[in-house]
Amino acid sequence: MADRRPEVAANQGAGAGDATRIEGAAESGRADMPGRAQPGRAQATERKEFDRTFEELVQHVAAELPHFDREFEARLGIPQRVRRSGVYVRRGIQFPSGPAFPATPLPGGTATGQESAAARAVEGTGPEVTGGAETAVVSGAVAEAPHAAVVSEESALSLLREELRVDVDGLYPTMTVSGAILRLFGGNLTWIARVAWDQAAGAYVGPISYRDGVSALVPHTDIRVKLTGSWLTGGMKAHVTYTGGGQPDLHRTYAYDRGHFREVGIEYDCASDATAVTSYNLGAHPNRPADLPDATLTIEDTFSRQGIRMSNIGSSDIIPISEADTDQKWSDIEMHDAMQVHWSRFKDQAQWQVWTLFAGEHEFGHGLGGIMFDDIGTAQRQGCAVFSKSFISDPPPAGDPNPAASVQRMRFWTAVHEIGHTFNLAHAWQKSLGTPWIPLADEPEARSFMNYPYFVSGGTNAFFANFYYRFSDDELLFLRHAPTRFVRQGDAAWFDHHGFEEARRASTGALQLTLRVNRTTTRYASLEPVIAELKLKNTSTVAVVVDRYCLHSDDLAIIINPERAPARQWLPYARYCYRAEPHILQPGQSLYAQCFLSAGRDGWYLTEPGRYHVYAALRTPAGHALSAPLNLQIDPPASREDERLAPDVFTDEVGRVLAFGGSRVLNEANNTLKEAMERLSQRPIATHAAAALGNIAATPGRVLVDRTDADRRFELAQPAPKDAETMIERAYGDLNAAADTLGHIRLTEQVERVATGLAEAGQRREAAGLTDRLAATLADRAVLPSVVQRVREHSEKLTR
Amino acid sequence: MSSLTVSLEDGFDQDHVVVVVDGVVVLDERQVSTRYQISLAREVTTEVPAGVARVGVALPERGLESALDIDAARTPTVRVSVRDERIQLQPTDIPRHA
Repeated sequence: MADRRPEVAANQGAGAGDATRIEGAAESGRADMPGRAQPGRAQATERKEFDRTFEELVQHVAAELPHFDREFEARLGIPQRVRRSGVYVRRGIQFPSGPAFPATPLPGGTATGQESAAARAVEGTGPEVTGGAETAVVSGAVAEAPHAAVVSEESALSLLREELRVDVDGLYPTMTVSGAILRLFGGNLTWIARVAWDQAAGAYVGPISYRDGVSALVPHTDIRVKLTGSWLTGGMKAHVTYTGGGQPDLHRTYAYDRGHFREVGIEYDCASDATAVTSYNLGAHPNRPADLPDATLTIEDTFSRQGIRMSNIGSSDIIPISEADTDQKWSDIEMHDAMQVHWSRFKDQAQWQVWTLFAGEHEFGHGLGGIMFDDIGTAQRQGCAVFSKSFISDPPPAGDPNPAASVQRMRFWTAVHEIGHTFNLAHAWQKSLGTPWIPLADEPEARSFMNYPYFVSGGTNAFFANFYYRFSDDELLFLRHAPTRFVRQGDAAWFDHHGFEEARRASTGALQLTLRVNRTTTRYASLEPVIAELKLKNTSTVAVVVDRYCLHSDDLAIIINPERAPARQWLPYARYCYRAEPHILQPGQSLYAQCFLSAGRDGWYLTEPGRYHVYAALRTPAGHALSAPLNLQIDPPASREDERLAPDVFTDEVGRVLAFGGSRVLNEANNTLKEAMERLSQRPIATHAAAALGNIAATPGRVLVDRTDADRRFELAQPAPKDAETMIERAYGDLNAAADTLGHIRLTEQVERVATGLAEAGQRREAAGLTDRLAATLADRAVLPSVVQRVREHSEKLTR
Repeated sequence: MSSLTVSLEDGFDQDHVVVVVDGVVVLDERQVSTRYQISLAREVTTEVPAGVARVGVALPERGLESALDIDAARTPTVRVSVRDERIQLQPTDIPRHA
C-alpha cells in the first residue's frame, strides 16, 4: 500500500514551511528489480499494464486519503469507497478475434450489451454498481458518425478519440459528466451535462447543458451513465446512453483511463533575494476548520487532490536579482525575460506547464503580493510570480496565536492563487465580468483560493476559519470540464485565437492581408455601423499575380467573434460573380476593398455592446493570407433613444440599405433612417443615414415597377435636389468625421457619386466644391496620393 | 496631512478617467484598462489635509461620475470599480492586490 504522504510528513515533524515531499510507493513501484531477465514483448506489455494499473490504484487511494474513515480503514486495511470519477476514453474498435461491430443505435433505450451481476464495490456506499462483462459490441465503434468508418485500431486511433469525464464522487464532486470528441476529420466537440443519481435507473442522468464545437457530433439532449466494474473485478467502464433531441438513442462505452482530469507540470524558480514557499502545514495555525487534517500540503497536492494532477518537474534556478535591473524590483517585462531564460519548458505555445517565480518585490510596490504577469504575446498565462517582500509577509495584527504560521499561510495562499490565474481563473468577485465561459455569479464570500481573504465579511480571520484549501464548485467545474483551450496555459480564451495567430505568424507567403478601420479608435458608438477596409499587399521582392477581384470573391472569409457569444462567419449581402482577372501586384503594391461588417445575409453581427475580434483569411494561388485580428469595441446605448430605435435599425432592410448605400424602394428602412437622422442628429448613425438617403436623393436611378402582372418595367427616378441638400450637408458637412465612420473607400465612392449627380443636375460649382474638400480631407488623412490625385482630376472634370 | 490612495480596480476598459480630490485633478488619463488578474487599472496617491476630503471620479466619455467624502486618517484608500454603468466608491484600509 502506498505511503500516506500527508500523515508521514506530519509524523516526521515537518514544520510549517518545509517543502518536504514524500516519495510515494508509486515511484518505488516502477523501480527495476536487479538481476531480472529481460521479458519478452507480451510479458513486457503485461508488466507495463500491471504497473500502470498499480500506479493508478496508488494514486487513486492517495487522492482519497483525507476523506477516509480512518477507524474503518484501520480495521480492514482497505479503502472504504472505490472512487469512480475520472476520465474514461474510447479510441475505436477492439479486435479480440472477430469482426468489429458498430455500436448501433438502440431502439427504445434498451441496451444491446450483456451485463452480468458482479460483486458490488462496497456495501452501503450509496448507488449500487454492478460489474459488467465486456463485449465486443460495446468496445466502441464509430459507425454512428457519418464518414467515419474504421477498419483497424491503428486507423481508429488516428481518426477518433473520445474522453468522458465523470465527476460524481471523490473530493468535491461537481456532479458533472462531460465529453470531449476529438476527430481528425469532422470537427471537435466538448459537451457538459449536470447529472444526478437516479435510483430507479441505477445510473447518473441529466441534460446536456453546454456545447462547444460541432454540435452535430452529439445531437442528443440528455445522457444516462452507468458505471460498472471495479478495481477488484478489473476494468471500470462507463456505459453512456445518449437520448432525446429527436434522435434514436445511442449507446457508447468508455474504458477507465485515469483518476485525474488534467495533468500539468510546474517549475519553481527563485530570485536570489527571495524565499520560496511551496507547502504549508494545515495544522500550524489554530484558526482553521476543526476537521481540517493536520497535514502538510504542497502546491502540487493542492491541485492534484482536486483532480488537476500537478507534478514538479524540478530544474529550479536561483535567479540573480540583477535581472530585475538596478532598482531590484521586478517589472512585467523583466519577469517575462526571466521566464524565457530560466524556465526549462518555455515554449511560445499552449502546453500544460506553469512557471512560478518567487521574487522579492514588484515595481508596483509593497501592495502587490503576486501577479500572473504573462498577459502579453500569443501564448499567455504560462507564468506567475509571488513577492515575498510584499504585504503577504507582513506580520499579522497583534494577538495572533501563531504569527509565523499566519505569514506562511498567506504566502502559500498567494502562490496557489497566482497559479490559479494561469488556469484562467478569475477572482471570486469578478466572475460575471470579462468573458465568462458560462453565465457565472460573483462569489464575494467564497472560501476559495481565488478570493482575497481580507475582502470577505469578517476579514482574514473569518476566511481562514472556514477555508479548506480548495477552489469553489464553479471553479472546479471550469478546471475539470471546460474546453481545453479555455484552461490550458498558453491557450486562448475563445475561438482558438491562439491557433489562428500561430498560423498567421507561421505564414511565410508573399501576401499580407490587413483588416483595419480608418480611424484612431476601434471603439464604435451604439447603432454606429462598422465599415472596415481590407488591404492585400505584396510584401515580397518579386511580382505576384492575384485575381483583381479576390477581395470580393468566395476566397475571402471573415469571422466575427464576440467575446460573449459564438463566432459567426460574415456573409455579405451581395456575392459578386466576376471572371477572374489576373492582376500583377508589384513588390509593395496593394489591393483594397471595403466591407460592411455590421450586417449581412444572416443578420446583424455587431449589435450587442462589448468586444469583438474579427479575422480575415484569403485563399490565393500564391498562398493563404491571414490577417491580424481587428479588435472592436461596441459601446452600450448612450440614451433611451438609442434603445428605442435599435429594434428598428437592426433589421434586414436597414442593413441592406446601409450596406448598399441607399435604396429607392425599401421605404420602411428609409423612414427608420430619417427618424435616426432627426432623433440622433449628432450621432454617427445619423451620418450613415444621411449618406444613404442623400445618395439616392442626389442621383438619378432606375426602379423596377409592376404596373400590371404582365407589365414590369424600369422607370427612371429623378433626383430630388432640395431633399438631397439637407442630407448631403449632414452626411458630408464634416468630411473628417464622415471619413472616421464611413471609411475612406466608401466615403470616396459616395461623395464622387453624389458630386456627379449634382453636376448633372446643373450644380457644378457645388459638386466641384464637394470633391475638392474630399481631396483635401483624404490628403490630410494620408490616403494614397494616387487616390487623392484621381479625386482632384474628377473635381476638375465636374467644372468643365 | 494624510496620504489618500485612489485605487481604480475592476470595470475599466480603455476609458478616459478623471479623479478629483478636493477640487484638484490628481489623475486625468485615457485608455485606462483593468488588469483583471490583479483587479487594478491605476493607483494614485495624494496628500490631503486632516479631516474629510471629497473624492470624485468621472468617466467623461461614458457619462459616468460619482463622489464620496473620505476620512483618509481612518480609511486611507478608496477602491473604485465600474459595474452596470455605475461607479462604485468604497473606502477601505486594505490597499492590497494579488
